[in-house]
Amino acid sequence: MRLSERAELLSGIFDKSLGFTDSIDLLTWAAMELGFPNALDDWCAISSGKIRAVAPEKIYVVTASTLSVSALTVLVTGLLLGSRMVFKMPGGGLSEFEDAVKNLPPALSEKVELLPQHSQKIMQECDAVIVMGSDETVEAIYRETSWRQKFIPYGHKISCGILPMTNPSDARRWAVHAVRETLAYDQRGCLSPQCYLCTSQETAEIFAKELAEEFEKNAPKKTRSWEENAAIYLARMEAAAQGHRVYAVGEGNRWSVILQSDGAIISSGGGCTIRVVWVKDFAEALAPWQGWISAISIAQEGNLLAWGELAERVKASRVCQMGELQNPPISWRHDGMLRLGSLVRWIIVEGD
Amino acid sequence: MQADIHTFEALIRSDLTEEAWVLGMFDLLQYQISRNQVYNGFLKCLDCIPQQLRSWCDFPALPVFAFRNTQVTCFSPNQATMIFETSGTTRDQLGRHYMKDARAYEKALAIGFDKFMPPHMPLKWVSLIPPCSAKRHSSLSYMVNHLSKDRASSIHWVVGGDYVVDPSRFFAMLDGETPTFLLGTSSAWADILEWMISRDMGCSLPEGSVVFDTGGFKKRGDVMTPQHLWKLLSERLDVPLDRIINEYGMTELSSPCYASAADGIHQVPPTLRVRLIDPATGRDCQKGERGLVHLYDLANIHSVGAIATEDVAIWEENGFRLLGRCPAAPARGCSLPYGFPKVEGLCV
Repeated sequence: MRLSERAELLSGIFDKSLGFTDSIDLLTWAAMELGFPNALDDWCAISSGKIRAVAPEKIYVVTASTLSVSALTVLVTGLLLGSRMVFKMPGGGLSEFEDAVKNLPPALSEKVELLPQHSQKIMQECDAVIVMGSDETVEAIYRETSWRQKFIPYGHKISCGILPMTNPSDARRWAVHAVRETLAYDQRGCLSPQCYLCTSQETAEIFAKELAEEFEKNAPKKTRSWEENAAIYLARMEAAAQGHRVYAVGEGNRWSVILQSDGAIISSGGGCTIRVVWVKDFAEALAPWQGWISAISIAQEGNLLAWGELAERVKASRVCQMGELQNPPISWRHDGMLRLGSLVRWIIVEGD
Repeated sequence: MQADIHTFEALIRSDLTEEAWVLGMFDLLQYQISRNQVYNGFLKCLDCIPQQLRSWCDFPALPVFAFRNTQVTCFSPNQATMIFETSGTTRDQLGRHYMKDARAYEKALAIGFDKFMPPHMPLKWVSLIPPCSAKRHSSLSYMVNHLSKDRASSIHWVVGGDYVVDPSRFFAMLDGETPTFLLGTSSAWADILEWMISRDMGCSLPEGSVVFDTGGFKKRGDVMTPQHLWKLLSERLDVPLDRIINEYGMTELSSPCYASAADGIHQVPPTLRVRLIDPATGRDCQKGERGLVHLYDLANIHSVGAIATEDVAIWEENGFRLLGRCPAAPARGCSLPYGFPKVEGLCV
């Protein structure tokens, strides 16, 4: 099956949440990452000869229990390349992902296998290994792989937002966008914001209050585990004991906003617990997070390129407008890596 | 505000009535709001208005965490006559409990101890808990030292400030005839048991002996359940389970709870009330529901009366059963667990 046929099959199945709307988007993505529209199917001419991209025959994927969307993104990547895929499923399963696999057309579903348990033996038979999960999981799996295998680690990452405005009241209108990107996926993924940073105390106070109001209007009721509820509850109490103002829903832990003025940033642990932190300097405040930041959303319309330098300094791999954290384009480099390009192997035949 | 320190101290009695406790605790917490900056600030951060609090259980409990990075006192800390410090093994920073004087603390300790220890307590004490001279800021050492004064004819301290257990020194103190009160942390008992098991050794404590177990498994990588520890102690030391007593206390608390190893259910001394809080609602748990342990201690006069722990328990018929430390919500997937990174350095 050629790339275009696979793209056609895939485009009919998934909605826009994965960053593409039709097969053209998928083909454009492949052409952009591989440099040629048909590199997976044909030999392509370069100045020194001809090259071709070879997809991994079989990819082993360790999925995280957090989100189906992460596993679906990897599924699309592997199937578009034409690889066979083995997914080691999390203990509790991933119902949305499993349903999507069941609904694949036979030509694609026959390439996908779901494993309830990790199998080192099967993993070692694969050309590439993708791991999504905690840093500990990534390291444990890495130790079981061979240098001959391509290894794509998606370990712990967080995202955050920045409010650079000089007029504090401008912060109000960004709260609705911040709430949207926080509520998406219940703050469980690497693109979920954990905190919003402001360099003005007044901005932070206005934004925190506005966030609380927006959450109250928009946060849905959630059924959380006892452990999740306990983590949220303890995070709030601990913050208050540290002298941070806590805005929170009275019951059900639907959302929490913690207003900090100490500049110290810690992750919130999910469950729509957001910290608004008044900092002196964005880069300085983010320095302890260096290497663990996935994306930064900016409360600013246009001219986001000015924030590229900050992303470089704190080793983030994406900057977007506030509200868009959870909607990366298909060209998104997950954790700074090409998603298709980092999996393929190239063959070059020199000369005519 | 009518109440003062002396009023609260006068309430620390073994025959304290429910009504007196309820009124006393309400007054104490109001008193502490006006004098304890940390507690006052905590309430403000939660948007809690003191004038609107109608009952003692309307007052939020201050997390024990606060003792680690602030001075939780109703007086100037430099007036403290005693400072108890946590062992510092559970988190990075040491927790400190400042006490202006020891009167309420000592009374509360004695009331709980005398109420819950089994009858016919031995007069000979052997302690695997270091003496005060070796651990000046240990509340546990202070407690053992204080309680022994009126209750022991002799006390033998067999562990120093480094907590290193020398089993042969411990067993040398047991003469095989005199009923003995043996005190130790779970960690120390685990060391003793390990030593005995490695030698396939048993020991028959004289009838009437009592084993006191407290604390966690500090400085040990391995852990075992309390029930398993008590079973091994009972088997190896030949002491009935109802003569093994577990203490549930902490540096930040003045009124510890006690459980017999026969059922593992902790009972509450007259000066203390325990609430188990449902983290989903912030309300009290019903019987059979897991909850976070909140302690309301009338003897915590100089610090704060309402303490929120990270311990989890469940109500039983005659008390509460501890289930352990609250597991933080498991770190899932590519997002980060709560509290990451530590400000002072990166560690998960």
